[in-house]
Amino acid sequence: MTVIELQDVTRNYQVGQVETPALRGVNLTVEEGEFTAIVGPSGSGKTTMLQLMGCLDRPTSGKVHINGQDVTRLNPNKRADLRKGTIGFVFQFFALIPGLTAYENVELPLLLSGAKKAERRERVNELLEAVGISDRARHRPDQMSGGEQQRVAIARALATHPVLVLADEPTANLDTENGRQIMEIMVRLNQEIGTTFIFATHDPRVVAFARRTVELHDGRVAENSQHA
Amino acid sequence: MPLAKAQAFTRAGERASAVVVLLHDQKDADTVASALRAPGLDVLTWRDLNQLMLQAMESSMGMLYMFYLIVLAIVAVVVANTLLMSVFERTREMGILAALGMKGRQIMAMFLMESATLGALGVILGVLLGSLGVYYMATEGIYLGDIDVAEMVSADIAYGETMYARFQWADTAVLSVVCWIIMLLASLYPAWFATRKEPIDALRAL
Repeated sequence: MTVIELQDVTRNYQVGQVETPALRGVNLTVEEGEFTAIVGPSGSGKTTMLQLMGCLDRPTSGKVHINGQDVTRLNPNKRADLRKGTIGFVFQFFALIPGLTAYENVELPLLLSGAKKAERRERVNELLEAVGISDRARHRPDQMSGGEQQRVAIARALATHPVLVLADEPTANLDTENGRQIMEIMVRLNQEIGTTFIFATHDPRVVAFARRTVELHDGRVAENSQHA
Repeated sequence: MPLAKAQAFTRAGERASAVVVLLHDQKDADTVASALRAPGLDVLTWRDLNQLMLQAMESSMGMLYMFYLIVLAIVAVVVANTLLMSVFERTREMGILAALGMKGRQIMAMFLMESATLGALGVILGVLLGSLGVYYMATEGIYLGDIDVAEMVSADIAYGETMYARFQWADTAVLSVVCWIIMLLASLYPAWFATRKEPIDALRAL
């Protein structure tokens, strides 16, 4: 089943008086259960592509389909609903809510989805266990290392059983060992749960974990390759 | 001077041109005046004798209400400014919440709830601190003994040596509620401003 389909997608940004293209007519299809890396140099359009896939932004032209639904013209509330139930995000700088504990950060998407307390408790504990951070459940982000915070972010991204997790440079702010552990967790969850993972990176060591690589150059798909 | 001596001195016989009655409580003035009223007698209360001073008091109350309005306007500006700063500082957080699927109206409701709670806490704290001041003024008062108040204001009223404050429950309740409502109204713009941000713009702050 196709999870994401981009049809001739362009995205231009207005910088002062100049219109700068970030994506120039991208076509891409991602199937369920894929573990795909979007690679390319800075400014190649990786983050823009993830933001369009995540319904955080709208294309200037072209169409974005998620689970077969054209999301291009959805209003902000519908896009918010789609993000809540279908898509999980992992950001480079972890993006946890500072005043909340690890447990509460993971619980947040479940609260927004209206899950009951017992269900939330079970799911949060299960996820914190899955990313190996149960002992840090009561710690706030400023009491955890970068690697631990990113594990919490992954747990949060998976809280509502999304079909798709989008990770923008998930290891860029981590040392090699923590970066490797984060990628191993993502690979394991992809294999165990079947959630589709798409992540942007320019680190070759991280790319090695991907089963498919989409390379962007100047807003265009330069290469699209499957690995064994 | 004894009454008899004064009558002899003024050749008034058994008559008196005016009799001043001093009461313990100014609230009893009307009752006592009604009881004393009789044909051929003019009975005047302290209010009748001090019209000018009462008018001055009324106009000073008007000034006091103006003062209330100015304070409330300052409260509104400070609250709106603080919340707007909070919106700017929490752009990142709003971007994260939007990415997690929180809708604009939910973000607005969150800010309004925060304002309502903070406003209520502020009002409670203000009433407590204000009450302490009133309690002090009500028990210790302001000593006026060295000032000849009667000469300054009116010789027809008996003044004590100390002026005491009194706690006005009704005024306190009305001002607290008005203040809280003004804080809520002042937080509407910052809350609305928070919802105008696109998730993508908020996330760029990451």
